[in-house]
Amino acid sequence: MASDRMNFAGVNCLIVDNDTFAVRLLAQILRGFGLNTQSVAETGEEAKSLLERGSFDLIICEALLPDMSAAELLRWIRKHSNSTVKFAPVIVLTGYTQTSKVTSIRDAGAHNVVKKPVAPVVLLDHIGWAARTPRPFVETANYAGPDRRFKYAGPPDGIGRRDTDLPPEVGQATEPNMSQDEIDALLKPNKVTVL
Amino acid sequence: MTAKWKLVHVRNRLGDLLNREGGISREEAVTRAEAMVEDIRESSECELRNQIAGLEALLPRTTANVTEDLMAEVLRQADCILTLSGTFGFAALDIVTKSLCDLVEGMLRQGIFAADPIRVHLRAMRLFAPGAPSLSSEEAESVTSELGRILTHLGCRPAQPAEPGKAAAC
Repeated sequence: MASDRMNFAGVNCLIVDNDTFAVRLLAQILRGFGLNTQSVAETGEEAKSLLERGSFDLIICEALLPDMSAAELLRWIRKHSNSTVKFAPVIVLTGYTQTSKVTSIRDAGAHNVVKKPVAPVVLLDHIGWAARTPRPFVETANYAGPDRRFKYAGPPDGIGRRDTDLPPEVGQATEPNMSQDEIDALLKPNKVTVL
Repeated sequence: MTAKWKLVHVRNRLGDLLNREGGISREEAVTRAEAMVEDIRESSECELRNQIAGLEALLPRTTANVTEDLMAEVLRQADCILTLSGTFGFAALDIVTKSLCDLVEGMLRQGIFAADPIRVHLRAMRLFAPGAPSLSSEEAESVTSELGRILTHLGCRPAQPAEPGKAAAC
């Protein structure tokens, strides 16, 4: 059973954002958590280059980058051949939270979308959620990313179960008490389209 | 029949790291992070003023019309302002900046390229910038409601959410 405590020492985080002050703010918040190993990429291409060379335990990315969207970067991450990159927890920060934008980020395989300005408690809860909620990865023709099905009801009529079906314990996941309902509503139970 | 999807049970490295011995409690982490943010309040307030000046510089007084690219740049810079105004509790500046975002988004949607409505918003942002003389709540309310009338006049009010309380515009 995970305790209330979190040990951020040695956690390697990649921040992807070209807004100097937003990065500074985020870096301060993460330092407050005890997460001191931070790398910063200002563009999507720079992030790709760092991800090719390094190993990151957490990626925090602004939704709009100068050269690409977070969704584009996410799709690249989720298709990567290196599993450390491919399965890395990604939290996307966005200031302008139009539904279509949040949906596109979710559908690109983000773990969480956090609305800016980022409150330390909200960020901490979302990191904790990404770290401590057991979520298998789903790969389909049109989606690669963390499983978004939090409530597993079992196969229809209890029959037809395959080895690849979700184990029942996936349904045990609990969400933190988050304050950004409008975004999280888009990340709550949703059937992944399976072709 | 072969399933056209794959389920991969991944070892959660981040979870393993966070669950190690030691570390800090949620309350401690949040308190420390808030203190770290407070440490940069002064420089952030200065940056807020610079960001507003940067927005003003985008729209010279003689400019009657704006381009789509310029409006995109206004949105980008407004986003930076929202980060700081929201973080450091400049509520009125936050409201006006969100109104600016709604306005520009609405203008882009409708193909309106007038500079004046944007300029009026920038003046209002100046009124609520850090270090500006404080306005009474009635005065502040009057400014924001006038901005609201501009949005209504131009048809730039953000679309109402499908479900109450389920959408945010900016």
